[in-house]
Amino acid sequence: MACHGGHPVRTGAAAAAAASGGSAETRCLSCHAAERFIQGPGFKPPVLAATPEHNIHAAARRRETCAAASVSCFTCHGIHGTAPIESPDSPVCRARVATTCGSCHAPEREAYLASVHGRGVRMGMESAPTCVSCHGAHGVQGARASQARTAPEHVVYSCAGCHEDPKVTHATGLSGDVVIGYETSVHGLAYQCGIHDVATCVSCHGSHRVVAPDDPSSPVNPTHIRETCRHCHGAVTGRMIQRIDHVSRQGGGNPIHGLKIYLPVAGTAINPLLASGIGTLVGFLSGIFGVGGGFLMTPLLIFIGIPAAVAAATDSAQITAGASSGALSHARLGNVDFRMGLAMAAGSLPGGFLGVDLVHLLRGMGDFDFILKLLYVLLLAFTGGTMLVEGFRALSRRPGGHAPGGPRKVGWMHRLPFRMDFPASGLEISVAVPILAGVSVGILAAFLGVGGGFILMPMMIYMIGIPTRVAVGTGLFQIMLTCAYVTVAQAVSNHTVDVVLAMALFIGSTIGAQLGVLISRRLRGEQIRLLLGIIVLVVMGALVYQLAAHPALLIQFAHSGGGS
Amino acid sequence: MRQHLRNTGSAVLALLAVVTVCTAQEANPLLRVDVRRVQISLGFAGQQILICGQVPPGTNQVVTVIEAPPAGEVRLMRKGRRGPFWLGVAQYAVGNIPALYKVSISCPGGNVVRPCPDQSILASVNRRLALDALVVGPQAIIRRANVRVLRGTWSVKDRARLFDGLWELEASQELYSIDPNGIHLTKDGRYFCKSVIPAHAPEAKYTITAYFLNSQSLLDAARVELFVSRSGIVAMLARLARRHAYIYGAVTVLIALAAGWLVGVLFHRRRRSPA
Repeated sequence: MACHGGHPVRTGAAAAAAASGGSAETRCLSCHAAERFIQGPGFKPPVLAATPEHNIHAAARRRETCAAASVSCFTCHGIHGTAPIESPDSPVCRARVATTCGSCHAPEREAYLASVHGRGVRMGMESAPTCVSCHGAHGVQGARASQARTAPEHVVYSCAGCHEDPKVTHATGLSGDVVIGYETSVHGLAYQCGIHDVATCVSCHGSHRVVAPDDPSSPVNPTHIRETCRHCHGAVTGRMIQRIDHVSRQGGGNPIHGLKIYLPVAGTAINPLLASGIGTLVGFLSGIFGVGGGFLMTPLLIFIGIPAAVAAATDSAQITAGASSGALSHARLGNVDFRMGLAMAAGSLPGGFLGVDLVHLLRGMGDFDFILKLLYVLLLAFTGGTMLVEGFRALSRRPGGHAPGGPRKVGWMHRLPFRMDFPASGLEISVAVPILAGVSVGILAAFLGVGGGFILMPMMIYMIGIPTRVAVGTGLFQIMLTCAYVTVAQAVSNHTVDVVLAMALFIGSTIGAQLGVLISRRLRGEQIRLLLGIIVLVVMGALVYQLAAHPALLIQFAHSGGGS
Repeated sequence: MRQHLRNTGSAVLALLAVVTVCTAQEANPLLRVDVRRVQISLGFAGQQILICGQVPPGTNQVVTVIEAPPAGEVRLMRKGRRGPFWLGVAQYAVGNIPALYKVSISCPGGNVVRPCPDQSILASVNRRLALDALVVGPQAIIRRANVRVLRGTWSVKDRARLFDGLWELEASQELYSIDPNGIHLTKDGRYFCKSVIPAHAPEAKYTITAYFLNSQSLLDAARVELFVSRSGIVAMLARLARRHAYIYGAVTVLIALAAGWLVGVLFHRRRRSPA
């Protein structure tokens, strides 16, 4: 009754004739536009859009000017036995809608079926778009009509609706940042400024027959790209091709590449994995040799873009973590002489103060930085060379034998007052010895702008006579105390400690230190001294190169602290 | 009472003036920026900004300048060769230079996808700006900088070497730049360009200025402000580091010791468990 009316009932062609005209819409909408149905299950408000104002087919029928005038509800949904659009029996279900639209729009149907979108629908991909995804269903408009999703002013964000949707990009493996890439291109910049007659997605990729760029038939395939650009640009250069390639090379396959974290005190962004990697390397050396690793860490941090002042200050926090991790493990192995370490720390703190004041005094007198560097080179050459030679001699003297520790040259120390027993080191010497060693290390560390591990280690082994393994553990303990103090001092006086950077470094340095301790257990004392000697000489070589090589920039920021 | 009313009236007038200026700025068709505020959060790695607008009739060239105010005196050292070594031969304290300075110029007869064929484009722009006592590029830095010589000589050659080196140094950190073909000028009288606020850009109120030139002189100019500031946990940590440095330093050391202890314990357990 609702469709065919009362008596006399029209049948077959008469009903179809009536249905093909305006009355068809009127009859369908008499129920589908009614509020009680719209609110009910299975009926949706967009049905209202099928009015001449919102639908190109309805508008054409009103004018009766073209073939579209014959399109009515029945054309797409059928007459009898209309099924819900989710049903595979419906002519407008996802799998069949292209065929249904294609019964009038045949060329577009063929192009769409050959496209990645059409293939996706055939494969049952829920995220693949159909005709209605871009053109709308009841509110279908002319492709360039201002309200259409395919209009030049909307098309980029219509494509973005799927290509930026994480659900779609995860399901399909698309990179997800092509639209961001487009926005940064010259076309995208103009587009965002309201200039819509520039190239958009469809200008280059096509509309219905969109295929992957590596498909040889794609207009953006390298074999066709120049031809595609030539549609708008007369002359096409290679540089132009490079500039329009908006597919991000950072996204997709390599999630680590773009990983960045902002450092609140350093005021820059770094890759935290890179920082952790550096921390692991330095912590590893620290665990083996009992040095802080500032000689390596600070230049590496500067190299990855950390300001020098922040690199030097945060380095001390990192050394605290690495040294505490290493010292704990060495303590368990009985390799830490706590008395000795505390005595040296008691000397190194005032020594550091004294050194800082001396540096300021001397720097005011002229080009002291260069002299300091030169002194450092000479000191490293002496200690590195001595350790190397002594290590070789020790190894050649006792191949395969166990090292009792280091060379024990303690003669003159027995004559000093305030003698004290250091059982872990097997020494009974004056407490003034470690305190004075600490003072001298503190002064040198302040002069040279490094933690002083390189100076302390040879001093402990060769001057005081501590066995090498105990020297490594005690050195770490002393460095931990000194650097903890320096960290607080730097935070208070210079505000240059970056806790976020420090935490990224801690992760690596603590693990690296443990690995270093594991390795050090397998090495004999003379082997450790030999390797340390080699590293000291490598550092010296790097410093000499730094002094002699032509600097990349002749004007540089002047350092305000340390020796470098 | 009258005084109070007068004060209130002044405040309202001032507020109106601010609102008018802001509204005028936002509606300025000559210069629009897609963001008004760049917020530096924990994931900040730099931000691209889009500058665009309508050019006044008769314009054939557009210049934009993004500038951050000076962040304090900068100490610079000039390296020179002495025997086999390179060492600092002069030291300067340079003040009143912008912390960030980026210039983009539209290239007549070109567009942004070709290198600009005009090698003297900056000189040509400055010749026309000079009529209004304006200048852009390295000359603008030289004009306003205050230099104190801390060590070494100071001749015309030294001055040139210092400023060339300073520009090179800041450019290597992406803080200074000149793009002689960075602005696209369309046939229908619009322009657009992009620029990047790098990750290590300082917190400040930046200014973005656009100059519109014809072949003889400056036709018009427009300016907008851009705020670059830290937010969230980044702002909180930066504030803590500066205002409560003892607590900040102590917490850092505690975290370091805790991390070292934790990893040490974990490794110790791991070593013991197979035994």
